[in-house]
Amino acid sequence: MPSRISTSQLFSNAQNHITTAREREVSSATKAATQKEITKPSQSPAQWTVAANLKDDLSIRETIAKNASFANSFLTASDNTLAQLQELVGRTHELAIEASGSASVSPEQYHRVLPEVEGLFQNVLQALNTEFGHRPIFGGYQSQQKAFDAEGRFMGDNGKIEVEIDRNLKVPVNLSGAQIILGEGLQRGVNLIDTYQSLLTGLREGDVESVRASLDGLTGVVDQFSLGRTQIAGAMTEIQKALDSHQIHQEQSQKVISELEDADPIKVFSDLTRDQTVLRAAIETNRKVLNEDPVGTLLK
Amino acid sequence: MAVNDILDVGQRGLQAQRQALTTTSSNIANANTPGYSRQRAQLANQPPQTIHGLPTGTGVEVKKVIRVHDDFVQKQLVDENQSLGNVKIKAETLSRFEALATQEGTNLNDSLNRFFNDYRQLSTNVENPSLRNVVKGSAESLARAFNQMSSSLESGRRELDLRVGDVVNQVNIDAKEIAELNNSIVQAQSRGEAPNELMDRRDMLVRDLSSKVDLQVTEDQRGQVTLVAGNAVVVQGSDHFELSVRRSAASGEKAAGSMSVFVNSSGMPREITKSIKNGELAGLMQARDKVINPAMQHLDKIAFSVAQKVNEAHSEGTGLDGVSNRKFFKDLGDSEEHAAFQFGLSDDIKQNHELIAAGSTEAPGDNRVALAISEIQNEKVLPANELGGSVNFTINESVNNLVAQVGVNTQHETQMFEHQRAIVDQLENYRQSFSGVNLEEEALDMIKYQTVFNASAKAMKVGESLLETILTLKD
Repeated sequence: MPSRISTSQLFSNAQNHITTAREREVSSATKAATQKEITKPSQSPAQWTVAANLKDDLSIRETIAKNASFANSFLTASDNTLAQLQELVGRTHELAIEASGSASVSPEQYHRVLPEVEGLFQNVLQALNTEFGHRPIFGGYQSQQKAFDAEGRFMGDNGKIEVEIDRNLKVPVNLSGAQIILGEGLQRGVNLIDTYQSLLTGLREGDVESVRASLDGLTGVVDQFSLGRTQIAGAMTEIQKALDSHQIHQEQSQKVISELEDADPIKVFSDLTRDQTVLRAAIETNRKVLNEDPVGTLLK
Repeated sequence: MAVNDILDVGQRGLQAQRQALTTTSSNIANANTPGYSRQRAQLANQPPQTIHGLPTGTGVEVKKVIRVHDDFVQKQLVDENQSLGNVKIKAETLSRFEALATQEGTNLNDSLNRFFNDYRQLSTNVENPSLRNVVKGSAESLARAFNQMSSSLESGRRELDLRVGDVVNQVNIDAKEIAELNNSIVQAQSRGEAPNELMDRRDMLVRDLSSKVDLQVTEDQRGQVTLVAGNAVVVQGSDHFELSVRRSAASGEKAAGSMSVFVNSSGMPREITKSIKNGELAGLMQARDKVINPAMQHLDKIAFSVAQKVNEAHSEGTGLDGVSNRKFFKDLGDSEEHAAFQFGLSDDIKQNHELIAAGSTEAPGDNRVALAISEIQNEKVLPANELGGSVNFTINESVNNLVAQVGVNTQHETQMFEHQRAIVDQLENYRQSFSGVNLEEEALDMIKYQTVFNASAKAMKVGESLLETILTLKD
C-alpha cells in the first residue's frame, strides 16, 4: 500500500535532503581547503593518536638531533686536538731520540734541541687548553677555567659530560683530562706533563739517562692519545647512527602522518564536485515539488 | 411525508457539509502547526422515519469530529525521544568539548615539548644563563597551558550544570502545562466536547518532555495522563510536582559541588539524580560526570606527575647560587586534585632564573640534572587513564590519550545520535504520514463537501418550489 504523504512531510523531507547535501558539501569543502582527511580526533581516534604521538616524537627528536650534532662537533674538536697532540709528542719523541742517540751527546746538541722541545711543550699546553664553545675540552665539569695552568697543573675534574643523542641514549662527549693526559686510572698510564718536565730537565742538565727514560713515556702518551681517539671514534659512530636514525624516523614519521592525516586531492575534489552536484539536484528537485499548488489547481 | 421534511433534510445536509467544510478548512489552516493531527468530520445518516409503512431517510448529521491519531506511534515516539534527547545533548556537548580539548591538548603538548626541549638544550650549554631564562619562560607557558585547560574544563562543567538547571526549568514548565491540559481535557469531555486540539497539544508536550527526561506515561480512563520522570511523579491529574536543582557533595563519578536533581513532593525535596537515566537531563549529567570529570582527573594526574617528577630531579641539583634541594614547580602536596589548576613555578624559580638547577654539583659544566629532567619526557610515568592501573605511557602520550578519549566518546555519541535520529525521524515520518494534513486530500474533500452542500441547497430549492405549487392550489 502506498504510504500517505502529508504536506509538511514534503517540506521536512526537502529540508532534510538539502541539509544533508549541504553538510556533505561543507565536509568535502573543508577537506579541500585544508587538504586534511582528519581534522579532529573523533573522525578516527586511533589514527589521530598515532599522528599526534608521531608529531611529539618529531618535535623531541629535532632537539635531540641538534644536541647530537653538537656532540659530534665537540668530539671532532677533541679528536683534532688529540691528533695535534700526537704530532707534537711525536716530534718531541724524534728530538728526544736525536738527543739521546749516542753515549756522549755534546752540550751543543742539547742546546739546539732544548728550545724546540720547550716550544713544543708550550704548544702542548696550549692544545691541552683547547676550548669548544668556550668550554675546555679536557676540563670536565670545570668549564669556566683553563684545563691546565701555565705550569701544566691540571685544573679540571673527572666530570663526564653526557649528551642525549637519541631517545633514551646518551654518550659522553668529553675525554677525562686526568686520564688521557695524566694517565690516571689507566694500566701503565703515563703523565704527559711529568714526561715533558723530565725530558726538559734532562736536556737542561745534559742528563742523557733522563732523556732516554722519557722516550718510553712519550711513546706511552701517544698510545694514550690513540686510546682516546678510539673512544671518540666509538662515540662518533654512535652519534652518526643516532643521526641516521633521526633522519629515518623523520622521513618515516612524516610519511605516516601524511598518510594518516592528509587527504587524497583527487578524491577530495571529485567528492566536492559530486556533493555540489547532489546539492544542486536536491535544491532543484525540491523547488519543483514544493512549487506545486494542489489546492489552487484543484479549486480553480 | 410532508413537503417540509424535504426542507429539513436539505437543511441537515447543508449543516453537515458546512461543518465538514469547517473541519477541512481547519485542517488546511493547521497544515504547518507542529503536533497537529488532522481531523475528520464523521458523517452518519439520521435514523429513518416510517411513513405509510415505508422507511424514509431523514438526512445526515456529523456524529463527531475525530482526531486521526495513533497511540502506539505516540508511545514509541515518547520512548525513542528519551534516547534521542540523551545522545543528542551528549553528541553536541562532546563535539564542542572535543574542539576545545584538541586545541588545548595541542597547546599543552606543544608547551610540554618546548619545556623539555629547552631543558635538553640547556643540558648542552649549562653555563649559558640566558638558556635558564628560556627554560623559565617555557615553564611559565607550560603552567599557563595546564591552568587554561583546567579552567576550560571547569567552565565546561559549570556550563553543563547551568544547562541542567535550564532543562529542569523547561521540564517544570511542560509539566505544569500538561497538568493544566489534563484538567481542561476532563472538563471538555464532561461537557460532551471533543478536546482534539487540547489532546494534540498535550501529546506534543509529552513528546517534548520525553526528550528532556526519561518518562513513563500512563493514561487513566478519564483521559488524564500521569507522568513519572526517573522514579518521581511529576504530573498526576491536574497536579504537577516541580523538580529543582541544588549543589551536592561528591558521590561516585560526580564531583563535589555539581548539580543534583530533586523532586519537591510532599513538602520535602527528594533527590532523584540517580534514577534519571535518559533524556537531555541525564545526557548533561553523564557528559559532566563520565567525560569532563574523568578528563579533569586525568589532566590533574598528568600535571601532578610532571610537577612531582621534575621537582624530584630538580631537588637533586644546584642552582647557580650553589644552593640545592629546591623545587622547580610549586609543591602540590600529596593530592592530585586541582593539580592542573594550581600548577605553577615555585616562588624561587619565579623570582630568579639563576636558581634553576642544571647540575648535581656547583661545577659550572655539570649537566646531569638538566639531562635527568629532559629524560623525564621519555619515561613511561603515567597510567592509561584517570583510573590508574599499570604505568605505561609517557607524559605526551598521556595528553594525547586524554584528547583521543574525548574523540572516542564524541565518535560513539555522534554515531548513536545519527542512529537514534534515524529511528525518531522514521517514527515522526510515520506519525506525519498518518496524522499530518495532506493538502490534495483536503482540497478534494472541500470539493466533495461543497458539491453536496450545493446539491442540498438545490434539494431545498425543489422543496420550496413544491411548497409554492401546493400553496397555489388554494387559489
